[in-house]
Amino acid sequence: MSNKIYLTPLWVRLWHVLNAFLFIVLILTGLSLHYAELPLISFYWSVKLHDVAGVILTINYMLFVLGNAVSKNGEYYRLDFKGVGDRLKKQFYYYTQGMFKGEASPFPVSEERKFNPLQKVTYLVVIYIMLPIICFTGFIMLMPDFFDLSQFGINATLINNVSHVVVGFFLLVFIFVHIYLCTLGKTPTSNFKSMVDGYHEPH
Amino acid sequence: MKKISIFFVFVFMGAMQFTAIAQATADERAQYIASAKESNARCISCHGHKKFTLTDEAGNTVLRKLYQELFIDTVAYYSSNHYAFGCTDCHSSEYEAFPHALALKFEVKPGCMDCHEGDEAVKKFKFELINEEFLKSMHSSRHNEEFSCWSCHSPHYYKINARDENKTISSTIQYDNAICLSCHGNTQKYQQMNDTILPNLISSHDWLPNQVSHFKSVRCIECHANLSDSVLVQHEILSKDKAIRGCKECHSRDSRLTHSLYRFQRSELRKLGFANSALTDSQFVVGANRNMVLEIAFLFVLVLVFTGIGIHSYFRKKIKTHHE
Ligand code: HEC
Ligand code: HEC
Ligand code: HEC
Ligand code: HEC
Ligand code: HEC
Ligand code: HEC
Ligand code: HEC
Ligand code: HEM
Ligand code: HEM
Repeated sequence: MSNKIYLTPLWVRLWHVLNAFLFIVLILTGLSLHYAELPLISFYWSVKLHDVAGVILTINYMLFVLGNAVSKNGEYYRLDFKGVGDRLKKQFYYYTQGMFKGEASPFPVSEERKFNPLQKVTYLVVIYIMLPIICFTGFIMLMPDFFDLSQFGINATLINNVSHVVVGFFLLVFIFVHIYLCTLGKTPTSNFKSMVDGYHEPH
Repeated sequence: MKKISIFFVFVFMGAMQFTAIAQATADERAQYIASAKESNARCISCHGHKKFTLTDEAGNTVLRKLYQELFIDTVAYYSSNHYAFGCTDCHSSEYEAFPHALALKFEVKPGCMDCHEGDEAVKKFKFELINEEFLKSMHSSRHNEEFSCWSCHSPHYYKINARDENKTISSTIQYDNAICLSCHGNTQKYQQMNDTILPNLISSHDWLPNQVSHFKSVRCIECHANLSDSVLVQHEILSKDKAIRGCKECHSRDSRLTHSLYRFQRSELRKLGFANSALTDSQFVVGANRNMVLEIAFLFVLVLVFTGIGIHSYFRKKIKTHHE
């Protein structure tokens, strides 16, 4: 108990729970939009829900970026490009072999290091590349009259919409992997607990 | 009676005279237009301008304005389907005289079918079928003769649009919708047909999101007429309670939009493997456009990820029990 460290401030946890909820809504409605013939949610309500959830997610996202820019939490997202390949390999080795041999985690969580390299790179890609793309392309679709892409030819609309769907798909994959990797904590549930109370329980 | 016979004579001769109109080369076209211009000069001297000069027997002249409805835009006239026609091919030659005789107000005007019934030159348009559909339409059954083909097809300007290779789907959609909006967006013309208040289209379609882009990218008849694969333009306009409201009708793999017009348009994107690719030519319809290659790649990646997770958790469990 005593060696628990407080790593995740309340605002991050609040952001995260809202974010996760909106993601689930967006994925379910997004699937209903894309596969309208599936008996998920009616197209009509999917549009409404998806639009509202999309806008809230975008605002929530911007608040998170702002929070990371001004608070200490942002420091965990700084990537040192030098030797990043080796570190990723090490972590990958740990996940695929090391942990089965009972080896210690190569990048244990500490006050200075919340994420292991693989986590860091994934979060960076998701937060700073994928989310902006999906919000941006989403807003263009949200206001087709305002952002009239058709003036650049059909391909512009097509590329915009396909990017939205493709990035949406990768985010779906991310969630599965993310949740699975979160079960690799001290106990399968300890990382989820840490996202509730903010305290990380080391191995 | 006399007017009707003029018109039958026309039909008789027309069949031989005009078959070449539709297939005319640029040179022949110019010739036809030149000769039509010559014979129409008298009518155009008044009907081609916003005002005209009237001369009485004593030689006095007065400048009169010509009301908008009587004005013929000659540029549009000479690029329409019937560009080679003289005014008096459809109207009585007695119009040469002015003031026009009262009897002319009772002139029987030819309808499309009078000239095009069984017309080989325009067989591909299926006039007979269109006529049948039109007669069943709500406009026709509520207004009888008053509502005719001419109500939508301007006798002087109609130019076939959907089959024009140089036109994009979106410009055709705009052209077609403008035909409906010529009444449904114009109180004056609407009330010449029906003396009620013109329903406001924006509020009767307020259940439809992104209305502006929907009206830009689908034809009114897509929702308001029966589907038909045998004609390019469905003509059986239904009453409003039979109109399409379900989003899935278009936003799905078996979209309505894969029929008629959209089916006709050729597509580059089909080569890229997009389902319903005719659509993608001009627009991207959420839910109706899917790329098979992408879809299979998605499935593949998902299977890979779940297999990975499965194997990983299997070994985790095994090692855990091993440790115990
Ligand atoms: C007075 C006779 C007459 C009337 C009335 C008439 N047309 Fe035509 N139309 C012709 C002739 C003649 C041609 C030339 C081709 C041919 O021989 O049929 C033609 C050609 C066409 C073409 C083919 C144009 C092309 O470039 O391929 C279309 C479409 C057409 N008419 C539609 C209509 C429609 C719609 C109406 C009624 C709203 C109508 N026409 C009324 C005589 C007529
Ligand atoms: C001197 C000017 C003048 C000339 C020339 C003229 N028109 Fe007119 N036309 C008018 C005016 C003014 C009206 C409206 C008053 C009326 O209906 O008499 C009219 C009305 C018409 C109408 C509508 C009648 C109705 O009530 O529906 C038609 C059709 C018409 N003209 C055809 C022709 C044709 C065809 C020619 C050539 C053969 C022609 N006009 C030559 C001035 C002219
Ligand atoms: C293909 C046949 C056709 C030709 C050619 C034609 N008209 Fe007409 N015109 C009609 C018909 C049909 C109407 C009645 C339209 C209606 O009922 O809405 C009409 C109506 C009119 C009107 C009355 C205005 C109106 O909208 O009711 C005028 C004026 C007129 N025509 C002038 C001309 C002139 C001038 C020319 C030659 C430049 C000409 N027309 C050539 C078929 C023709
Ligand atoms: C309610 C309006 C309306 C009425 C009434 C109407 N049409 Fe049309 N029609 C249209 C529209 C809109 C188009 C599409 C124009 C385009 O893109 O070329 C069209 C197109 C056509 C075409 C071309 C179809 C093709 O395959 O390219 C023909 C032929 C035609 N109409 C004949 C008729 C005939 C004949 C009548 C009367 C029996 C008639 N129309 C009545 C609205 C109407
Ligand atoms: C010449 C004018 C005119 C044109 C062109 C026209 N309409 Fe209409 N339309 C009317 C009138 C008038 C009514 C009212 C009918 C009534 O209730 O008497 C009407 C009614 C309707 C209705 C409502 C029917 C109902 O149940 O109340 C629909 C839907 C409609 N039109 C669709 C169209 C479409 C689609 C087009 C184009 C292809 C079109 N209209 C072109 C005049 C027009
Ligand atoms: C996405 C499908 C769709 C499209 C596209 C569409 N409509 Fe409608 N429209 C409907 C439905 C559904 C109704 C019935 C609304 C109601 O009764 O509340 C309707 C109602 C109408 C009415 C009757 C209005 C009234 O209040 O009486 C008219 C007229 C009409 N539409 C014309 C048009 C015209 C013109 C266009 C093209 C510019 C068009 N519509 C495009 C689905 C559509
Ligand atoms: C007649 C066919 C048709 C029907 C019915 C229809 N739509 Fe659409 N919709 C389209 C087309 C075509 C587009 C593509 C517009 C464009 O070019 O951007 C579109 C675009 C959209 C968009 C914009 C997406 C984007 O790419 O920006 C939304 C949202 C939408 N539809 C929702 C609906 C809803 C909700 C309904 C049912 C109430 C509905 N549609 C019914 C044909 C239809
Ligand atoms: C997890 C995130 C998201 C996923 C998985 C997702 C997924 C999807 C999918 C699959 C479609 C259907 C596209 C088609 O079939 O052609 C779609 C449409 C759309 N998305 Fe998203 N999306 C997400 C986030 C967002 C965001 C943040 C916005 C921003 C506002 C947004 C706005 C839209 C809009 C406007 C459409 C068009 C249909 C509509 O108006 O609802 N999406 N999305
Ligand atoms: C849907 C259910 C989700 C669950 C159950 C979940 C669970 C978790 C857990 C347990 C942690 C803590 C990890 C640790 O301490 O090692 C975490 C962290 C994180 N998750 Fe999620 N997550 C979900 C969705 C998402 C989504 C959709 C995103 C982003 C798009 C996301 C992004 C993050 C980020 C960036 C962190 C680190 C936050 C920080 O401390 O700065 N999560 N998540």
